[in-house]
Amino acid sequence: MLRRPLIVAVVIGTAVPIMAVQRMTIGLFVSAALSFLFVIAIQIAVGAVLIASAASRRVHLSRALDLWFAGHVPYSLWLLLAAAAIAAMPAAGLDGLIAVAIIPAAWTAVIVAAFCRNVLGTSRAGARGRATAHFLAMWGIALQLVALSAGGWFQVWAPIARVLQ
Amino acid sequence: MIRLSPRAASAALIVAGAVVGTIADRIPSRQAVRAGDYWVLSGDFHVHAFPGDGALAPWMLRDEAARAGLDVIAVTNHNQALTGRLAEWISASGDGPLMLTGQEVTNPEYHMVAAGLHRAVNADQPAAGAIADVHAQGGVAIAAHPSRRFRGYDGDATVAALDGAEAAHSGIHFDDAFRRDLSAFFERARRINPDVAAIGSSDFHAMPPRLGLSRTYLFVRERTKAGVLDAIRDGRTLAVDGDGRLTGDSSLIDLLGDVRLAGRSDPNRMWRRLSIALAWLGAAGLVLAGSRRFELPV
Repeated sequence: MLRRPLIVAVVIGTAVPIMAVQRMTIGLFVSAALSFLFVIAIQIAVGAVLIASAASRRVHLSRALDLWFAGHVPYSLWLLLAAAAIAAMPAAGLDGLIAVAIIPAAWTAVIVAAFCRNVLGTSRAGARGRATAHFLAMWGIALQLVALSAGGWFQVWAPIARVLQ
Repeated sequence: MIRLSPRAASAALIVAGAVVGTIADRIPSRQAVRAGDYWVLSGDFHVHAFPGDGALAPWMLRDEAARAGLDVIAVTNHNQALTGRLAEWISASGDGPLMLTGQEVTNPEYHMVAAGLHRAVNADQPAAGAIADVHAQGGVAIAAHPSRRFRGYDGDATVAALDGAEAAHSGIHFDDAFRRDLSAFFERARRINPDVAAIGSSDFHAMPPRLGLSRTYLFVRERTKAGVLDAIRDGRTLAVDGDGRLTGDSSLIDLLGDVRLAGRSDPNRMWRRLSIALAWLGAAGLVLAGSRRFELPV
């Protein structure tokens, strides 16, 4: 049951071409969806670890993974809103979009905690701990990928240092 | 009457959007332009692609370059040349714009576009060393967005070794200080090396500014990779910003006269927008239709 991961792939396949070239074609859709499958693979891997950590879970792993991707709704909506904003105003800055990314980040943490309580059957404290671990893992992986593709960690720190100055 | 579930209707919208967009997608054919003894090509030598920090894979980038009215691009991901090599391999096996292997040599002290490479250049060295490595491979070295925050080009000997410098970059349309920095660096580079090539680049990654917003006109003897690299080495280029302003040798500006190369074309704008709207609505519908509270199987 990987219906929800498939929806995430479709969202990426739609949003990426709109953001990048303000165009939608079959080729762009398929290419973007396939190119960014690694994002879904990472989320499945992190989700599988999290699910496996809860011996008291109430559903099978594949069903749990599908439900796990319900937590992607905030980022899916943010991605689509960002695509719409860029398509409507290509010359506008991205600062606002990046700033509002705090909303899906917080919302996702709430959903992950709810997932841990309702699907994995963990305690409140266990759910909070897992949500925190998930947050740190995903942001750690994301920043590592950014650093890797941008030429090094100094590329990540430099803009932060400029903002702080 | 056919009844569709919200999820099926959403999927249908996405398919409709992609089909409409595909049918409406017209990639223009390029008209060869001559000025004096040269062919004039339009290039963008600072482009990022997937895999890497760009959104588009090389096969999609090639089509987008054609839509943008570009004859040649260099795929220049940070500190790797693998994606550029993939792009050049794809480019060799079909029509469309020429795609060159490149790298944005990325060091805390400088960024440098290297085009015409065979393998990645070590970025963990001073700019002069990186330029020598690029030349040893037969490539060209271009100072990338050389603003004042980069100190790697402070030495005149390093600047003298450069083949080109970005005199136009997409960022100048949003930051006047950046525009002044690029202009000042290019003037300095021209004083040190009168043949340094004026380069215009988009530095396209994953969202606007668009591919080819700033670009380079190249005056080439042959429409090949060698012809392009020779034009940059000899300084037979003009940098063009998004407003069409030219920077470079005045004799080349005179040679070009009133001739302007066709830029980005968007012949089916209305259908393109409709396709985006349909696909976007479908994806949003799919997300909302698929989001439910956790339901436990009983």
